[in-house]
Amino acid sequence: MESKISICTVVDVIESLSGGTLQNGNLCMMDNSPYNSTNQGTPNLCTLCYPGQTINWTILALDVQTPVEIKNINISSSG
Amino acid sequence: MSQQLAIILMVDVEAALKDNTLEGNTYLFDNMKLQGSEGLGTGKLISAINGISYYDGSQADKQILNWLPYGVGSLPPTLPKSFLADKSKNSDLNTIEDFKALAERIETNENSQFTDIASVVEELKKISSSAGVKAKVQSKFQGILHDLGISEHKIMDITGELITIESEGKIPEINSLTPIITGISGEAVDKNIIYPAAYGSPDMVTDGWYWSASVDTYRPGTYAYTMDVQLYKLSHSDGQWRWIPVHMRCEAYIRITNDFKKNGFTNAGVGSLPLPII
Repeated sequence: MESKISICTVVDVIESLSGGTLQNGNLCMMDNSPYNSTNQGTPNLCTLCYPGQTINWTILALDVQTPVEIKNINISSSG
Repeated sequence: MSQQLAIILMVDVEAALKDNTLEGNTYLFDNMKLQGSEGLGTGKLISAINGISYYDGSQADKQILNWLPYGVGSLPPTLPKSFLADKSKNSDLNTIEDFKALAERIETNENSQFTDIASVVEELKKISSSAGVKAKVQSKFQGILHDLGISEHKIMDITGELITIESEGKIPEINSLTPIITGISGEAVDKNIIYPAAYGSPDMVTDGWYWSASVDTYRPGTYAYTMDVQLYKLSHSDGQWRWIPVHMRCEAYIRITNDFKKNGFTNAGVGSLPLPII
């Protein structure tokens, strides 16, 4: 298959709003990159991809009654 | 009634089909971290269920669990379920419009473009390739083909765009069909700790079907359960693209404790609920 990558984020919206943070396990990210991305299932996912590759982001709330959306994505170089 | 708890099964469908196992290709979540769930975001989830009583000693309600499976590379589940059908139908209507427009262009011989059959054939090919590729779902046991949902669906990528397939060896990235849970069994069921069943609901998001269970919170302990999961593999045979069901299994756990039930909205305090002063 030609390779595009999907990055999926799952958020426990109620817990995030209650605690005021997306940390503490309230957010997990995973992808389907064929190149063995690291930190799957954590907020610190490092997706391995090649230059020019298409990446799609989706987000999902744990509870179907708590909508969540991606507002913006910023790409910055990591130290 | 207690808050119903959700367990999400996220599957990297493409990788699971390639490896022929869910092992290492699933991520489980629940919204019970506050009560002590472990292994969120991994393939080994232990869902914590604080069961028996409230702080004041009153008997707690039974706990309800709901399971929802999703695919990492599937269309977002928040899209209306008619999205695939609507998009497929609209693309057919667009194709008909394109043919009509082509007929007019040939009639007027626009830009003297259509001087021979080859140029017409080229335009026809262009239009038919933009019409997408249809695929049917193959039944599990008898190989019978049927439509997905109420009408034939076309193959799309994860952004909902129709794709064209040049050859079976060169399939572009596709929106893998969302996995479905077909059964829940194992220790927790055998010991009558959970009573699972598939339920229907008019909810358009989950397609109306989901697995749910009542938990007997009277017997603390850690219990395993097994989910039967059906994935779909895109395959081509007899001139037809088909989604072949592939059955896999994965295991997870529930841990029932006799800790007091907690209320997430009051920041989990084990005490009397803060009553609002009126």
